Amino acid sequence: MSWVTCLPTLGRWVFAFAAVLAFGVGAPNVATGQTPSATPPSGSAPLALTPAEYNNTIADLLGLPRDGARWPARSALADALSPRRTASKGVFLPPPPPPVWPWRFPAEPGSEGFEGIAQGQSPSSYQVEELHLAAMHFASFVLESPTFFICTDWATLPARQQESCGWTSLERFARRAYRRPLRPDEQERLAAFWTTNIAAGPIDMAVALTAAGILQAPPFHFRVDPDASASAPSQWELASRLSYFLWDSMPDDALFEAAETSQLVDRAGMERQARRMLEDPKARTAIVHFHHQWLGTDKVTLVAPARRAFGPRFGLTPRVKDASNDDLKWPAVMGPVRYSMKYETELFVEQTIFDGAGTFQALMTDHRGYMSDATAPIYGANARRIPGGTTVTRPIELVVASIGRQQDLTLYQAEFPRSERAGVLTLPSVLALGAYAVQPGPILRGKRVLERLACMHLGTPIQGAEAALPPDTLTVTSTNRERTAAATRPATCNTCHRQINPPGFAFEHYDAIGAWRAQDNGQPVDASGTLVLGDGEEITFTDGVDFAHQLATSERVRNCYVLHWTRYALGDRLAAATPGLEALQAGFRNDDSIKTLLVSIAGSALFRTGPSGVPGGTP
Amino acid sequence: MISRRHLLHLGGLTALGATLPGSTLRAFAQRPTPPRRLIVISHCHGWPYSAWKMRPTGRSEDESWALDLKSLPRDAFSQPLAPLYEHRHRVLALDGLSLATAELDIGGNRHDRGWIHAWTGNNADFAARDTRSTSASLDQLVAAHTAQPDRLPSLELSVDAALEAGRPIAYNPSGVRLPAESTPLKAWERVFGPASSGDVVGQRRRRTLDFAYNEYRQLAPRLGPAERARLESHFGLVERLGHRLEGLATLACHAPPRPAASFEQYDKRFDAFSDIIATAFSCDITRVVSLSLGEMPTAEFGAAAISDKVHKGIAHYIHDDAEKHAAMTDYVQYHGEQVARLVSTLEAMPDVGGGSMMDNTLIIWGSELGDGWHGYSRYCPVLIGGSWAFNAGRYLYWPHQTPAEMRVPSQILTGGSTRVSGLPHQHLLVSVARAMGLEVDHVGLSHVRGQRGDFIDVSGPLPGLTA
Repeated sequence: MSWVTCLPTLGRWVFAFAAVLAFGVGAPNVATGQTPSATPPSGSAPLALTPAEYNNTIADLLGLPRDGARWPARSALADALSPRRTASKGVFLPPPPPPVWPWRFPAEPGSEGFEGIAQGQSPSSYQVEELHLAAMHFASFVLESPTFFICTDWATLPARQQESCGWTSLERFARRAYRRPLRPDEQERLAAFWTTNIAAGPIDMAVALTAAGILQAPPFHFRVDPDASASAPSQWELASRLSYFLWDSMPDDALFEAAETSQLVDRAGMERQARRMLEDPKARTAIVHFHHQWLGTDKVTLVAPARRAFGPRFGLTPRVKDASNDDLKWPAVMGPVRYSMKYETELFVEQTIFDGAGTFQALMTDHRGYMSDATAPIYGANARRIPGGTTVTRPIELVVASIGRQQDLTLYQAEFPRSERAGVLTLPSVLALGAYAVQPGPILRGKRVLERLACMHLGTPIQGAEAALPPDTLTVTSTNRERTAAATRPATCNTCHRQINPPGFAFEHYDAIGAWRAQDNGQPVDASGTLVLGDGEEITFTDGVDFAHQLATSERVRNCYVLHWTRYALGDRLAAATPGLEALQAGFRNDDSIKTLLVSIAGSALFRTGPSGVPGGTP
Repeated sequence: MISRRHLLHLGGLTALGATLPGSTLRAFAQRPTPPRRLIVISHCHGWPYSAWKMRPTGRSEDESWALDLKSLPRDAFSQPLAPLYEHRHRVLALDGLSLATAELDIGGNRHDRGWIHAWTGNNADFAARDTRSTSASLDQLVAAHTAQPDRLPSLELSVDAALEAGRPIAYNPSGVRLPAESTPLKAWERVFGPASSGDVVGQRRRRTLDFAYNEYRQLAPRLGPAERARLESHFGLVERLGHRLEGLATLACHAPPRPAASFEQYDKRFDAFSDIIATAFSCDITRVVSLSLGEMPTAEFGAAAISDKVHKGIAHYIHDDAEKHAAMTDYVQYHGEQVARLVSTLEAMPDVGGGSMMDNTLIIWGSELGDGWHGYSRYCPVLIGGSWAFNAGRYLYWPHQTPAEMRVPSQILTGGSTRVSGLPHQHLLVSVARAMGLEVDHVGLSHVRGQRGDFIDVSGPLPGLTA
C-alpha cells in the first residue's frame, strides 16, 4: 500500500512531521498551521510548474495516459464547468476537436533558453486565466480517473457513503497534488470547501469543484516548501525536486515513500532514487525535452525552406504554377519533413543516451540515427537503412488545404557516412534552424555553438545588423562563406563576427535543409577554421564533423553542458562560478556518461541544498 | 472570500437608470476620460481593386499622394467605398499595401495563411490539427493592454452562413484560434446574461478562485520574502480574475432587447451584433471586438443568378469574368453598407465628454486576401475613426516598391508574378496598436526576406496616417 493510502490523514501528518523534525524545523501550531519561527526563511523565488510539467503532473495525478487520444471524452460536467474549446472552422471543414489533454498554455519567457528557471517565470493575466480554465477542465476528469476514488462503484453508492468516499478521495487527491501531507489547517479549509460545494450540489459537481480548487491552490502550481529549515529543504521538496528534474512530473508512490521514510537525507539516498527514476520511461521524455530546449529543436516544425530552392529535390517545380492548387503541394511535402526532423532529433537523443553509448562523446559524434521516407531526399544516397534496425511510428498532424489531417510517420534506424554526420550538430533539425529560406545561416549556426554549447554571451547585434546580411537568394556569384565574410568584414561587425563566423562556417557542408554538399555555387566548400573559446581554448578544424569531434572533448563545452543541466535541475540561473559546480564538472571529465552526470547532480549538495547550502555559496 | 476592494469603481454602473443613452451618460459621469475602443472587421475574399481604387485625374501611380475625402462629392467615391461617404471625415482608405509576408510564408491554404498574417502580422503554424498562429492577433494585443480587471477583455463575433463558417481572425498568445460567437442570442447571453439571468457557472468558478486565493493568504506568512513576492504577483492576478467574474455578474446595464434565436438574413444578423457591440461599449463591458464576416448568401447582394456561393461560384473568377467582378464589387459595397450602419449606430450614442461613442472608437476593416483569386498583392484596408490618433478623411496612395514578389493572375501580368509588393501591412498593425496605446515597434514579424533575398523591414508604423 502506498504512502497516500495506508494511514489516516492526521496520523500521516504526525508521521511526516516527525520525519521533518529530524531536519530541525519547528513544530507547527496546530491552530494556525504556522511554525513558531518568528522570521520565515528568506528563501528564493519558488518555481511554478512549467507547461510541460503541469500537463504531465495532471496526467499522472489522474492516472491517465500522457496521450490525449486515449483520455475519456469530455463530459457534460466539464461543459457545465468550463466553456468547451471548439476550434473555429477553417475554410472548408471543421478541424477535429482539440485534444482534452494536454492544455496549451502560453510558453514561458524562459531563461538561458530553458523553461522552469525561476528568473524566466513571471505571471500574466492571460496565463492565470488559462490556469483557471485548465483547472476547471481537468477537475471534471477526476470522475473519470481510474485512481481518484478510494471506493468502487462510487456512482451507485447511497448518498452518505458517496459523501464519505468523495471526501476521503479528495483528501488523498490533495496530498498527491500538493506533493506532501496536508497541514491540519489546510485539511480543515479543504473540508469546509467540500461542505460548501456539497450544499450547492449535485455531488459530482461538488467533487469536481473541490478538485478545481486544489488544482489552483499554491502548493499545486508552485513548488513552495513551507517546511524547509534554514539549511535544508524538506524531504517532500527533495522528492519533488528529483521528480521534476528527471521526469518533468510529480513523484510516484515510491518517491513519496522515500520522502516519508527520510531516505532522501543524503547523497546516497538521492542517487539511489535518481538511478531508479532514470530507468523509468518518463525519464526518456524529460531528458529529450531538455535537449530540445538546449538545441532549440522543438521549433523545427516552423522552419520554412523555400520551394524555389528545394522543391526539385522533392519532385516539385521550383515555381508555383497557380495560386490555388499547386500552392498547396510544397506545404504538403514539408509537413512530414519537418515532423521527421523533430522526431529524428528525439530518437537520436533518446537512443544515444538510454540505449547506446550513453556518453556526451556519442551525443556529439555518433554517425547513426533515424530517418524517414520524408527526409530521405535530404540524407541522399549515402544514407543506409540499418538492416533489422528499430522502426518507430509516430503521429503527425498537418493542416493542408485548410483541412486538419492526422497521419503516421515511420522512422527507421539508419547509418550515415562518418564523413557527413556527427552527433546533434549535424542533425537536419539543428541545421535547418540555422538557415534562411534559401541559404544556410553561418551566423545563426555559429551563434548557437557559442551560446548553447560554449556558454559564451554574445550580446545584442548592432542596429541594422540583420539588414546588412547578404541577400538570401539563389542568384549568387560567390560562395555563402565569401558573402557572409564580406558582409561582416567592417570593423564594427568584425569585433564579434571574427568569433561567431568560424563555428558557423564549420557547417557550410550543409545546405539550408541540412543536406550535405561538397560544393557551394560551383566552388568546393571550405568549412575549415579556428575557434578561440573563452578561457583561451583553441580549436582548429577542417569541417563540421571534425569540429563536432573536437567540441565533444572541449573542456569548456563539457563544462557548459554540466552548467545547463545543473541550472535546469535547480531551476536557477546559476553563475558559472557557483560553488559545487566545479566538482560536478570534474566528475564529468572523468566519466563521460550522461546518466551518471544526472545521478551526480541529484546527489550533489548543490542540488540538495541549493547554492546557499554549499560552502562558499550565496548565503 | 476574495477581497472586493477593486469592485468599488463599479458603483457608477450599478446606479444606472433605465434608458439609453441617458443612463450611459450617468455611468460615465464618474469616469473622467472615455475609454478608447477597437473594432476589427474582416470580410472574406479581399477587394475588386480596379473597382475599389479612386483615381482623380492627374494622380501619379509612381509617387505617394493623399486625397482629401471630405471635399469630394458623393459620385467621386468608388462603388465599394461609397457607403462610407456619410462618414468620410472619419475614413482613411489605404491604397498601396500588400499581405507580402503571407506570400513569403509557406504552408496551408491561402485563406488560412491570410487570416493569420492579416491579423497577427506573423507566420502561421500548420503543424497541428488546426491552423495556429505564432503570436497573438492585433485585437488580443490591444485587449491585453486595455482590459479592465472586472470586464471582458474582448468579444469575438462572426457573421456567417451555415457553410464555410467561422473565419478565424482572433488568436491568443499561444497561437490558438479564439472561437467566435456566431449567434447574436448567444453573444447577448455572454455579454449581458450574467447580470440579467444569474450566472451559476460563474459563481461556481468564483468559489474555486476564492478557495485558491485564501490558501495563498494562509500560506503567505510562512513564506520568505522572495517566495511571498512571487506568489503575490500570481495570486493578485487570481484575485483580479475573480473580480471579473463578479463584476460581470453584478453589472447593472440596460441591455438591448434579447435578439431573436435566429435570423434569416445575414444583414439582420450583422445589425443585431452591431446593437450588442454598441451597448457593450456604452456599458464599458468590453473595449475590443473582433467581427469576422463569413460567407454571405449571394441573394442578399443580388448575385443569386450567377451562383449560390460567393467563394467558389464568384470570388475565384474575379479576374476571368466581368460579371463576377461586378458581383464582387456589389459584395464589398454591401459589406461597406453594413460597416457604415455600425458607424452610424456608434455615432448616435453619446459618450462621456459630449462627443459620440464613435469619437472614441477605431475600426479597422480588412480581409484575409487581396482579391478573390487568392492574391495578396492589392490589400485595401480602411480605418474609420481613431480621431485621437489619425488625421482622417483621406485616401492615401503608396506605389508598390517593396522587394517582394507577389503572385497575380497571368491575365494581369505575364509570368504571374510581380517584382515588387505594396507596403507590408504590418506597418498598419503597428499604427493601430500605437493608436490604442501600445508602445510597440512591430506587431508579429519585424522583418522578412523577399524571394530575391532582400531584407524587408516590416517594423514601425505606416507613414502619413498622422500627418
